[in-house]
Amino acid sequence: MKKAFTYLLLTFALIAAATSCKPSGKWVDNAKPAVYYWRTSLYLDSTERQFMQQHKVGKMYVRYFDVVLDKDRQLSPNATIRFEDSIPSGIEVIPTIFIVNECCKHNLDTIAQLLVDRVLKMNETNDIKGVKELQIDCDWTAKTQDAYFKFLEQVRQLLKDKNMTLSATIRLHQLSMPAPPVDYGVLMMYNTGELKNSKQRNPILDKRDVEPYLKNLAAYTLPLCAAYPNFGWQLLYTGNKFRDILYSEDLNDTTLYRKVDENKYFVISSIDLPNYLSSNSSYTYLNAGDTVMVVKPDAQTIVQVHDALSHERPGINNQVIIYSLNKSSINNYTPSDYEKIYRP
Amino acid sequence: MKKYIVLSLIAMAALQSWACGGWVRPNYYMFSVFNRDLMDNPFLKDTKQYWVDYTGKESAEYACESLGYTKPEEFDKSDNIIIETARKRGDKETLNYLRLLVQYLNHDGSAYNRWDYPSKEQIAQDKAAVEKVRTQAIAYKGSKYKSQYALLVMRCNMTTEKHQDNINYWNKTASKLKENVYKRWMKDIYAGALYNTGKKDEACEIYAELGDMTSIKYCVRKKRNLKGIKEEYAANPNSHTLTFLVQDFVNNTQETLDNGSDPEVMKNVEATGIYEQEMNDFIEFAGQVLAEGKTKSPAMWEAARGFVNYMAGNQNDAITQLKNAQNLDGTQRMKDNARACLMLASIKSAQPTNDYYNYLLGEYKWLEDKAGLNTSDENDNDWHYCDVIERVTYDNLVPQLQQWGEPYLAMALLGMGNSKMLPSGYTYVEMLDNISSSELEAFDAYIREGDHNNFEKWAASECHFNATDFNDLMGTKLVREGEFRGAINYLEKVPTSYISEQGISYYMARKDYNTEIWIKRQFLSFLKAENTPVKTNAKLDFCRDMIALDEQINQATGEQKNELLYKKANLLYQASHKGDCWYLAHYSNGVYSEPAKSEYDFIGTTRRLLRTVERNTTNLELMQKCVFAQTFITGETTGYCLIPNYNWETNKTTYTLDENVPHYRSMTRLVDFNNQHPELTPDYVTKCDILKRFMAFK
Repeated sequence: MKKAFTYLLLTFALIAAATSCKPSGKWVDNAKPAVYYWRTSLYLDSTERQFMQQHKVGKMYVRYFDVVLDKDRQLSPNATIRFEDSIPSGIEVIPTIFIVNECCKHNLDTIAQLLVDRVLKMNETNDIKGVKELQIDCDWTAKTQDAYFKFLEQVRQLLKDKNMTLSATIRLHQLSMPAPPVDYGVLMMYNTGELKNSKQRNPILDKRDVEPYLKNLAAYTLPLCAAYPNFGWQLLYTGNKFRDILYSEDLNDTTLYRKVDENKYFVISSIDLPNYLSSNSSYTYLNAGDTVMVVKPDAQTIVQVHDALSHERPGINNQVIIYSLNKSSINNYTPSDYEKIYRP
Repeated sequence: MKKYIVLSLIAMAALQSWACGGWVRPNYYMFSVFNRDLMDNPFLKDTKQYWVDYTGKESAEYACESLGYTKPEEFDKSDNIIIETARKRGDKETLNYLRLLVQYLNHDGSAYNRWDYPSKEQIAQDKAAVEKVRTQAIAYKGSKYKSQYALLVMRCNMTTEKHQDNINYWNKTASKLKENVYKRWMKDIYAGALYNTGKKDEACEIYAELGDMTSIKYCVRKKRNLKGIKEEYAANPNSHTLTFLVQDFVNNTQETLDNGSDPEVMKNVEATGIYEQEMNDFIEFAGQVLAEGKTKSPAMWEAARGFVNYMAGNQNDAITQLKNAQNLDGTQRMKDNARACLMLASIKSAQPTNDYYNYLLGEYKWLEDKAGLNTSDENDNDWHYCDVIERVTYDNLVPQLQQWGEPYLAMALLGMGNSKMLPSGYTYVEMLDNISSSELEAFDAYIREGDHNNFEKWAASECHFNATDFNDLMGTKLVREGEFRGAINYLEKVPTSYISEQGISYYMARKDYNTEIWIKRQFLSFLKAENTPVKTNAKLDFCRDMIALDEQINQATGEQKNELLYKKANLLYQASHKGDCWYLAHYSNGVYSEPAKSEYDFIGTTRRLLRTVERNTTNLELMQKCVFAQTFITGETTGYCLIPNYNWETNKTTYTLDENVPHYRSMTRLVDFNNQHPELTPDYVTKCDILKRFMAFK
């Protein structure tokens, strides 16, 4: 009798395992080539529109606004996008909200309803039709996990009442933590490294930074798709100390910079530039003698990581999102590179 | 400028806020050819002032800022003091203007970043409302609020991004209005319209002219270096932007020399690093500008290269050029700027001669006038020249005087800063607090007597130091040094009203030094601290008690003597920096306080007395008190053996025991004593939490 019971258990376990491998549980439904749109005003130029057509982009994950702590330490929307252009027809918009992790320590649950209502109102006001999903982006940690998950549960329930689903971004380090209560996750395959160590490794995407996390991929309980970078960074150093990220600075200006190596420039005249890492308006101060390193992952690395992910977790690349739709980034790779990245 | 007595600062220290304060000494820039007042919001101050004058109430400043929170539909019942005043006066013209302003402020587009995102209708309503405000503003035919209505028109255009309309309106209408803050504000909006229509250089020039520092910094963000200066000079050798850039360059050079090694500081103060090569290139370029003769402000350029030369260590060139600059063409501020810079630069190569001291005296008096330090109205101060005095005095002259062996003159100058409420006044207070009684006597003699030159006489007269300050300080220092009899002579001359104005009065009025500290603590929240009238000077009482106690001890024998020595032990500990009555010998106290310089060994003496009593007494209760007191002192001075660990999950504190600290041995000794004498069960032992926790480990 005991043996029979053991057999039954094993059978059940096998059935359970087989069930969990069913496609619907592992990857994203309604998968389409997609892009993130991460600017404060929505306006698509011809290069961007052409990119979307060429790669049959069907979804745009559009950053609607950030949630930050305002000067009174209240949770507030910030940097709300202005819709100054129409969304190309046939494109599904997924409103995406970035929540500063610090907010999770300040009664995040109190804004679930406000946030959902705001997104719906933005859709209505700006004629964004056919929205079926909302995405939350947050660099949550073990310390903020409980508050963040509770918030997600509330948001998901509110969305359910509107026949909408909820997704969330997943950073590599979060793969070893419990999965958030959402319908699927987007595995961010960028910003994988440390900016402080970027002289040794590419902080945007380096295989050595990805490798330790691959083992967690197959068992991750949440359906996943992947997002890959197409952007580069100009990193500012004083000595060996990382200072800031520059934004599309013209390093070919020989009155300000001297190229000393492939992807390496010396600042030869002090200058200040708007700071894009800071939430408030401030400046980055470049001093003569500072170094600017240009980093961007090469296409081969992205494709290798893409393939490794497919190997560890078939189906994860059924939907690929490129971060981000931006004229200056698009030209970092060839159409052929994008084809390889977008393929399942 | 408001003048406060020196000990009001000491009183602040007594509130325990000093040591924990986050104030970081700012870098006081020397080079200023703009009016410093323009560094702040250039329009708001005057706009608010209008409403302060209108209502006759200072609170109108805040009411002005909160007009935007008034709902248009609630306007007629609003208790905003500006609206209320106009309503009470039946001032329809003002009410009409305010009503329209409130309408605008409620629809100015700020809703986009509120949780309640506007609907399509609301956006349309906002636009329509702004249009309506604009139309009504244009229709105004009166004269009283002509400028304000014109400003409303331009603000409406700005909100609806009609930049070209604003350019047209400025050219046709606004530019012809009378000069006032509203016109300057309109010109600023006009500059914004220029910027948004691609005319960035023109916009920069206006921002610089208006002193809109936030906008100009953004506008010229890529020009804040020598390359930018050269470009701007090539485009227009007499532009306002160029004046800003030159000033900015010199100040950034100063900042780099002071804080260039700390990128965080540089970032926080929005400074651009300027290093040796760029300094040298600037000096050369300034010479070229002067030689070409295109500039109408050679005084500025000459002073700029002079001060950069000073910072580069080229002292002779610096002195020559800073002198020369004062005789060249330029605004009066440019010439004054050269004079102030020269004063600072001169210190480096000066000798302590009568001539030099006379020069300093003349320059200080001139600076005081420029700073408006001798006027009664704080609004008349020119903060830039206050900063110059501070920089010259604190950072340059005081260290030089100390090198010249003139510590009391240096201190008197800091005392002058104190009487003028300059930041160096804090250093003066710290100095006064830290020196010994004999040094204080010498300083007092220097201030009151001495064979002084004119500069010294002036410094002594400007320095805040009166007889009561001296008596209180001297008496307190002598208490601190254990010279109780000597202290009485000084403390007797200090009125209680003087003590009542000090921060320590809060503690003095509430804490009794006779309380046995190891048995009963007297905790007070410093957050509630406020000056409190004291009926008696506890320092004086303490000294008298100590002398009387010593006399009793000398005459006593046996257990009576032991009791008195025990009492003395408590009094000494109370007066120490660890005591509850630290105010007896100190002006401030905090967790990290250390014994002051030349402080009597209050705690060591307490220990010795307690050991003596413990050894000599046959009174077990007194012996137990001595053992308990020594355990308390060991814990307070060397750390406790029970280490608290707060659990954030359960919100409970648990303890671990460290057996390697003196307090552990002391506690063990106390426990052994208690075990040997179970008949002794005073409350302070049976109810002692620390003892209970310790026993739990046994």
